[in-house]
Amino acid sequence: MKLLKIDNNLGHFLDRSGKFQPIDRITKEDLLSLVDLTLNEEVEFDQYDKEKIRNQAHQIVYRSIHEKLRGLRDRKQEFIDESERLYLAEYERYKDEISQQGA
Amino acid sequence: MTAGEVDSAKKFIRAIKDETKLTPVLFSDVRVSDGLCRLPTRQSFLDCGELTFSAIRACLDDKGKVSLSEDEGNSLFQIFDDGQRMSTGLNVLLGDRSTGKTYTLDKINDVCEGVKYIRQFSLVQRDEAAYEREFKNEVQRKRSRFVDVYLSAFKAVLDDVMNVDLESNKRDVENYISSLLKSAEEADRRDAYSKVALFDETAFPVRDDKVLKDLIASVRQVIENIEYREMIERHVDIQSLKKLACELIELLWSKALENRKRLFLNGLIKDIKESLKMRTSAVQVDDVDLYRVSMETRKAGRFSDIVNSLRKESVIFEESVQGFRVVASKGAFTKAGEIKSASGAKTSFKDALKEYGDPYRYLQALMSDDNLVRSELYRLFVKIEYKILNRYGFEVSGGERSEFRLLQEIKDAQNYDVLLIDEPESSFDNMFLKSDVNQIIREISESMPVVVVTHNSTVGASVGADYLLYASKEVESGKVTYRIYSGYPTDKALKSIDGQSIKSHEIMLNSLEAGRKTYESRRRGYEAIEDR
Repeated sequence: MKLLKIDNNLGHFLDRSGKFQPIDRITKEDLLSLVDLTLNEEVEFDQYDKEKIRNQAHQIVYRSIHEKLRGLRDRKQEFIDESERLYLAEYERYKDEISQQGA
Repeated sequence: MTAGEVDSAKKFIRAIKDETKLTPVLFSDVRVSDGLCRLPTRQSFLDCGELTFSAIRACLDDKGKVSLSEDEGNSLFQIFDDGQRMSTGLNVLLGDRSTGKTYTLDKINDVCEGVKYIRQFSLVQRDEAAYEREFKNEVQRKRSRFVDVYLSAFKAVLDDVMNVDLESNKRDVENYISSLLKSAEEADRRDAYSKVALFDETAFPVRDDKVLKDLIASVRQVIENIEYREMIERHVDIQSLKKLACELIELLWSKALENRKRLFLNGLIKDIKESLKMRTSAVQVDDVDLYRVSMETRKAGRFSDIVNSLRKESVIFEESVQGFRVVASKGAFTKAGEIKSASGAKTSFKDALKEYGDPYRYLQALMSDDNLVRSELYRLFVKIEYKILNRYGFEVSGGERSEFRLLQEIKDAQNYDVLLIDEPESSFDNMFLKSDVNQIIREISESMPVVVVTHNSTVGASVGADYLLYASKEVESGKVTYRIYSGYPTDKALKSIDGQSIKSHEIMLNSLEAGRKTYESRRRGYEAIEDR
């Protein structure tokens, strides 16, 4: 699904209700849901193009967000794995032992 | 044929007494080298009739047939080449001044290995104050580990509070309020940049999941424990615990993932805010984490409470050592000089001392001094003092201090094979404590040879020597000869290696009571007291 798009010389983002809003309206909660989508779904973004976005404020915001979300999408697995490193060995061992003993 | 090799009389006797050990043999072998001037006098005697292998083997099987001396079993052994022997227990070496007693001790020290030689103490040579300082430092050094452990909890708190900067927090809050008010004032003058929703956005709070992590660690501990397994299994189903652990771990993972997302976004938001700020003349509202600020204010308050209760005077450590007590107590510092000696740094603490009443401010003052190492600051809040008390609860005097040191040294002797003590009484000033020393010396002589040189009647006569040695300097037709007469305390006469002998009674009087005359007058004195 598309999360960021450029339309009418303005940047837009997909809000939590599934509608596109101008990028200068985005809040941190909106960003959080975009991050969730990026990590869990197949996502795409319109490429940032200075010529296509006329509003300077939009330019600044769209550029940053686009760069970051793209980077996140590329390192998706690494991002998730990093968080699951704690106690991984014990976890796997206990799971094994539980299923061996018959739950 | 089996036997166990030992390298000292002490170990020989220990092996004889220990049923689990092989029959010992004190070998006389030695490694030849340059500078070797004396051969050791180690040897063992076997009580076998004829000199055959089977006779020797039979002897080595029977501990009763092996000994350190030819005719005195294991109570004596040879010490010098000339045949001089001494007891494997307690030897007392007597003699007038310049008769070669110290020379003899030195010779024993040369000939034997593993010697603990406690030389004559002399208080006269030393500067009393310096000696006392030195003494206290040594006592402190041996016990500093204890104090470190005691203060380790405080150190952890201090490490945390060092990161709390209340001044900076105050500024952050002030900046937040003033920027917020300013921004509100200019609400109508917003431009495209300052109208962007993210312009005044606050960061996501990111919390540490310490509680959850500690909980998982605890559950793991219960699951993994082997020592108390049985007891645990009686009350708790380990399988359920494992399921609990897995669920907790999964929760920790999702929390960790959330935190990572938030940290990631906080970075993004900060970037955008800064870029927008650069383009606009509008005031951006500063962000402040009020939770953290109030937490840190509480921390500083709690820290001060902790320090103030730490500073209350009390005893934190007591150790009994042979009738003495080492006492460590804590209290507040009162002088800048005290703080300085606790820190060991070359800096003045006068300014810091002014803030001493407010622990947090005192800490700030200490941190601003570059000469001080942060990891050592924990020593500068509470004063730890050491006192050595005698059995009456008073601080030890100079003489008692020497005695305490003597006792420590004698205790250390257990790691050696032979103990030599040169005139221990020269440092005593208290009659009662001497009997403690006797007791200890006697105990040690039960497991290794001890030689005590003494003039003193209480120590000499009552220590209960197993063997006596008397050093004497004799002038015969212009020639000076040094002799050592030796024998058991019960012998009427002591004999020298070259066949001379001397009456025991004379020796005892001469050395121990400084002559018969003095003894007689003292005896009259004692009788006078008795008549009362």
